[in-house]
Amino acid sequence: MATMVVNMIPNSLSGETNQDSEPSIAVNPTDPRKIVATSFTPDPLGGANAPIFVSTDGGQTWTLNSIVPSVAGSAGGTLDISPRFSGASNRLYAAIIRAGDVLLNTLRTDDFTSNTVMTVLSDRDQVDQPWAEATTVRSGADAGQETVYVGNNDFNAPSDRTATIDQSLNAAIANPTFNSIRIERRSTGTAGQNGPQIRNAIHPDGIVYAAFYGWRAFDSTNRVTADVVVVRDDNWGSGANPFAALVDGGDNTAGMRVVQGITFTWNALLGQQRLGGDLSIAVDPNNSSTVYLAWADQQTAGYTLHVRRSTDRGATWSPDLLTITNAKNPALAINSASEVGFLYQQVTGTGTTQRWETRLRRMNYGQHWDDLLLANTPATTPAPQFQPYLGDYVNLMAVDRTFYGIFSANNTPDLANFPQGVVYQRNANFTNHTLLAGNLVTPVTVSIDPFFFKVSRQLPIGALSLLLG
Amino acid sequence: MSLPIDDLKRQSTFAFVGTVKKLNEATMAQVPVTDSTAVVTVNEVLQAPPMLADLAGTDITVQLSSSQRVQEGQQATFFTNGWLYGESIAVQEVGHVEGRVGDERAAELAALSPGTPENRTLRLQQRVADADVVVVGTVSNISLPENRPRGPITEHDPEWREATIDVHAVEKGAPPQDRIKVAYSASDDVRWRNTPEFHVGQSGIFLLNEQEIPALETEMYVALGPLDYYPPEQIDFVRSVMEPGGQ
Repeated sequence: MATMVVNMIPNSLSGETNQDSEPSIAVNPTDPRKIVATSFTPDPLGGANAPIFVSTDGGQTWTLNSIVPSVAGSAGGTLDISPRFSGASNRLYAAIIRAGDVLLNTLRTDDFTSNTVMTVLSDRDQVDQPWAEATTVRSGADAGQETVYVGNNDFNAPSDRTATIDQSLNAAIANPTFNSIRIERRSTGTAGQNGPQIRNAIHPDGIVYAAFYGWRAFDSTNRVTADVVVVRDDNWGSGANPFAALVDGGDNTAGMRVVQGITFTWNALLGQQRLGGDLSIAVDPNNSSTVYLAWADQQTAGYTLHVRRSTDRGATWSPDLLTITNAKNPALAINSASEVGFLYQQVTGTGTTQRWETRLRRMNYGQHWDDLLLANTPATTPAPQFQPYLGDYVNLMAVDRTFYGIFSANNTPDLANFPQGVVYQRNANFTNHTLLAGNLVTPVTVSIDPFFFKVSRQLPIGALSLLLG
Repeated sequence: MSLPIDDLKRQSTFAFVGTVKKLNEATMAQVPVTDSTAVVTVNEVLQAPPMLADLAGTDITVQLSSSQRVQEGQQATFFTNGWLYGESIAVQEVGHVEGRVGDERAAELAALSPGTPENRTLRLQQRVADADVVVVGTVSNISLPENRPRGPITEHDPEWREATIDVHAVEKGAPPQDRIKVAYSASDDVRWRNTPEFHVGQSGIFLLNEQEIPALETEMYVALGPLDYYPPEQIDFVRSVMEPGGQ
């Protein structure tokens, strides 16, 4: 197994102390050397456009390219950002909550390395936490069309059912249309809305899943009661009643309630990071009937992640395959060998010795979870500059057999914190665990940085022998 | 044809004196080299945030504006915006002027550099000019707004609070009473990162504007900007800026 972990802050920004939290990543499936990543990172020169992190060498080196519409002096560049490649080209999409006017923008560029600011495709207000997925239709009458799905919590939605997918089934044209699909069919009760996490998973055969928290109550102590709901569409979301293919027999309503009545406390803290729900969903690229789901709730032992699997398109679900306490930021992906990757961050220890452990678990052949500790970093330092401290989410993708991921963590240059090794682009002295400014002399305060990782499995020697005969 | 220097200042965030080292070259592999790219040696940084104020002596890439040409060996004051930040940096030129700008212009540019004393003074001068009232006071109470329709529950909610400020001295304007209410955000979210937060007993100088807050269905004083509050030890600094000809 080959693992690479890279601190993504470029050398020219060695003096930076920004809290680069809430990371996301997009890998170009047609050329995985081309990767885009994002975090709450403002333009280093205070300009009116926010940067994306760009790599053209498979994540070994990173450059910031300021091409996202923002506002000069913005603290985080955006208020949310989620990038995705089109699936069959170099074209990059992104969904953001724009700094300044707080509008949902869906963006596009044909060349993420150029200095041309991304084109705004859609523009509206009263929306939270957009999450982009995209692909290119491979066959049939719509072959070649690029489909983009932006999960979002839309407070313009009628009847307090705010879980929404903005979708364009032909996003590459000059002026694509984005339709807002309401995917909550039940009452949200006293909550009066859904949770902010609306996540999508696309299969090349046209099946699209989405998961969301169906909030049912929100009380005066910020306690949320919710169902975890999965919806499905079997033809790209193109029908008259999209995302209604999966019906829950319990109430004959579209949207399978995988669990009901879970609870958690909105804005509680774990390791200095706020909590408010966590979701991830991934579909097996080799079998659209197999789908994995991760969510978080509050258990007696603490804020807890659960991972379950359905092998019948979401109709029935396994018991927990993994149950992980004091953890958040789940991210699922499934590679071309149907191997499941599960990235998360977990607090261990107590008091001032608390640590954030960032782990990648992988399930082989539906049987065994291995465990790769990517980072083990202090959870009590540095002090938060704002929330989210590490991020309300992280991201994991798979291209071919390789997993590509991103997380944010304390950036102390200490190899003991990175058991798989780490490469820093910024100046750092690993002997005395000190960050250094561009002059290689001035110490730089520890902060939160984004870390890229790539994990590819090498064939076992036995398997290699078999292949070689 | 170069823009007037005031326009160059207004349209750029990074200004430096540099010498053109090589045309049709770049310091970064990510920059597509064209006849509009040049490697420029930074001689002196005039306007930059602290993190990038130490670039004197280094080579960077400048994407030249199409309206002006430069020659190798030429020294100019470049007005630019950021583009790429990697092993080196690349910037986009808005325009340049021949040679080094005069000391007066250099001082103006220094005052635009975040983190410098000159910038601190300049920004405060602008804030004082914009403020409806400037008062010295103490926070005597914090409460939830009276008219608080429950809005959407989001990470970016401002979490509105009302601070009651007992006014000890009025430095500018005419607040209606010696006790005023100020709306502020108690949220830790990134959207509200640069806003001041208050607690009972907190004293200082408050620079406030009255504005409508649709979410609260009211119009009142607000403190949402990073320059809307200064602690007691900086009252003299604020007053000095407010004096005619001050600082």
